[in-house]
Amino acid sequence: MSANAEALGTVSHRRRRLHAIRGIGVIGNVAAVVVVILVVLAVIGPLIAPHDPNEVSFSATYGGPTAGHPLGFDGTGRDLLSRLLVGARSSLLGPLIVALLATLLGTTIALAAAWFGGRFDAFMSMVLDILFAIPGLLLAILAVAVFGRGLTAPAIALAVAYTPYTARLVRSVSIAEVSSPYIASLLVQGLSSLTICRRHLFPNVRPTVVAQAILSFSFATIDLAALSYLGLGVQPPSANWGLMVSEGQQGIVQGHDAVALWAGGALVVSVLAINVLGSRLMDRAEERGR
Amino acid sequence: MGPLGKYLLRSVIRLVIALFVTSAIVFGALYLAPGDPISQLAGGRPLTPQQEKTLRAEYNLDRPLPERYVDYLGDVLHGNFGTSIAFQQPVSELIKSRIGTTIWLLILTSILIAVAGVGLGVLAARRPGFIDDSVLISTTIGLATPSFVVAAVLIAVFAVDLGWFPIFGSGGSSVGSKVEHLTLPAIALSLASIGFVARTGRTSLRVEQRRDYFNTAISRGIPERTAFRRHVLRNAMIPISTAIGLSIASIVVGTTVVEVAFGLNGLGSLLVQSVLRSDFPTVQAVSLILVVTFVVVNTLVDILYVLLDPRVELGTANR
Repeated sequence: MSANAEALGTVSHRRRRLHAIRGIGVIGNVAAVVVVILVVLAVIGPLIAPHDPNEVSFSATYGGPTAGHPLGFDGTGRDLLSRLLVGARSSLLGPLIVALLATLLGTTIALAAAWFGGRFDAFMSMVLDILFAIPGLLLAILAVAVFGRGLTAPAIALAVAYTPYTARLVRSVSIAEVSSPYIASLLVQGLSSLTICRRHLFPNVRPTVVAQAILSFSFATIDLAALSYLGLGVQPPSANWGLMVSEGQQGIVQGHDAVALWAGGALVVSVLAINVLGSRLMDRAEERGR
Repeated sequence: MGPLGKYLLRSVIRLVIALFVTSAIVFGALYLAPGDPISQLAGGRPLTPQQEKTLRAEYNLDRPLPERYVDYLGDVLHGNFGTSIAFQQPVSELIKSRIGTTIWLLILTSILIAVAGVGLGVLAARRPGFIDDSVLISTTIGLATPSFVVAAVLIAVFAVDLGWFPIFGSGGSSVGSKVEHLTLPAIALSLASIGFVARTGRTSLRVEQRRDYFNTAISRGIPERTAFRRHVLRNAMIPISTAIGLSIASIVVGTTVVEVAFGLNGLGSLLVQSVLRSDFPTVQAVSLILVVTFVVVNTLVDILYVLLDPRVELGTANR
């Protein structure tokens, strides 16, 4: 979140006013606003939910919208809007943590590889090449098989599986930076490697890092939702968008598609906004690099 | 050895390393689990002393880990994946009865990805304006839609409302029945990849269309359609076929989600069921088959890329 806001430059400290992000167009800015709203909803969702998400009214099974229940009820007679709002937390904050973890790991590896070069770089490239051979979703499923159902183990597994993608990209951008004259001049001035990497090298590759982090966020949103859909992630009666699509699918066969469509729609809108924002930022980072 | 031979050799070496490492991860997962490997293998079920003895013998638990790994590889290469405790039969038999559905699903999905992906890419590149915009918008949405959400929509519209397709099941053994049962699953699995291939196609066709040879061909009196088909499409097929190959690799694991969504009896749904029923031998076997397929397809894509495009610099091709 803080990395988001910082990179987007949406907050100006001097004037405390929201700015449009330059270079990503109207659509990119709309996507950015949607992403910020979604993350805010994920944080405060449980606080603003009108009803207890687990409160059952048996007479209202698959009931349509009524006063106080604007989206109606799910298959066990629970308020659909409340479940969507509460479910936003595990559906979005989990993937956000995966993305941050993968970005932290990948960027650290990439900067170290670009900085030290030589054998270390070659070794890390080999390790990353091998990690590429493991699909993220499969590693996450294996993690569930070993450590049991829930979000923690698969989230860590996904972060590990996403790391090589971030690392390869950031490494390629960093290598060009490391060989540029400003780095040599900083070294001559006697600055330590760590300081140069943190204060000078990293800020110059940050646009790529942020864009890739946001793209990872969108992939993680799909993968983690899929795990909960499969029954391996968030467990009932907790609310989660992936799980709600799975619960809603039983309703579809009986002709009630509201639950699956609302939860699926929430996922699509989220991934769409995150993905568009990430792609626009990546395009901008690539243009600046040229 | 020529540069091509060297490149192929390096691809094969990388494939072998990747196979060793991934199989070691799948094998080692058993020993990462908290607690006794025996209880992990049994999935927490109570075992008779006889069953426990059989398991200990089968997994050679008193021998050192590296030896067990070598044994495991030997067993796997002989098609022996151990015994499923949850299903009470050899894992290899479970796999044999399930693998057909997954292969059919992968074939149908690959065809859809290739045909619809290239078709939409050509359409977008040839018709700027409304059609191009529509393709761009729909592929952006397609890329953002999880396969299980597509599945839910397809089931609601085409299976429940219109009744054109069966709602669940893998169908009989005839080709017609397979296609009938697997069409919706294949659409759900292919949608995101179609978007990816269409976008790659659109971009690379645009680039090729702007090159001089295309205008030269037209000014020589070759009809534009013919020049497009013979030259532009052919050159653009290099990045397009790479995109198709990468998509096919990525849908291998995606079968888990789609098979569960449509209640298909394939390997993917077997993997999920065996995780849910704590049936570790089956989890290991199916994971291994899926990851090997993924790695092999990826290697084939790497090799195909070089064979298709002689201009690729082999020295730097290992990225």
